[in-house]
Amino acid sequence: MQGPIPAAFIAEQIGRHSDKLNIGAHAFFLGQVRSDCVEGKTVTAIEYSAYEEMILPVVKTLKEDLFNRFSDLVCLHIWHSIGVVKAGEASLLVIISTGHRKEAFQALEACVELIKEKLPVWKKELFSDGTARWI
Amino acid sequence: MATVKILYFGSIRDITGCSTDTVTDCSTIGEILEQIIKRYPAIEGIRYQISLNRQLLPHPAPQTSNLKPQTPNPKPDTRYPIPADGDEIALLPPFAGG
Repeated sequence: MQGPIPAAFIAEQIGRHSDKLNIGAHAFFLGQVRSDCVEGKTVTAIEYSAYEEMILPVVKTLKEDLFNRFSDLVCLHIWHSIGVVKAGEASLLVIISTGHRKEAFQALEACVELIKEKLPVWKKELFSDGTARWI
Repeated sequence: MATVKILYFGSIRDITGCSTDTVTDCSTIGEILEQIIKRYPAIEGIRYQISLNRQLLPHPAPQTSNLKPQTPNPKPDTRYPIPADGDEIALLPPFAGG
């Protein structure tokens, strides 16, 4: 999605699962832009860009992988920001829903690691003095 | 000989100053890379992977950081597919989602 992930959007997504009665656990990951200090300069925002046409096939493969590994997985959802997200705002939301809590935690960690490794997304730190760097 | 579309991303886009490009008269992925690097030699200083039509091409080791290059960029590989007219090739610096 363009820009930060609003808190109201997160609540709305949680509410959408109330009709799936085989779910017993949700696990969430919410990535937030951190205001790091790099060589005396403060990060005020991160600008995300992506190879958007490649994201859908990558996510499809990622989901197939996780559904094969975690038999208790009911559904999983991923939202990632594109564009500028200010420090303190959310840029990645992952919702994992399972029958029981154990696989919710395991699948969540596996999913976030796969996102970090496989998703064609890039980020540029924007500093308070107007400079920037790719990370 | 094929004409292919090239896409640049992340820090590579800062070097090229554009997001898309075209390479003509090429018969292998290696020739395409040579043409691109001839245009933008500074790309050699960036770690990247290559995708063909949105599929990553095999590479000996995953790239993990822009800042600390650990493995060389892909070299012309005879196992790579032969490019066809209209193919989309992208140069992808290390991913940094999240």
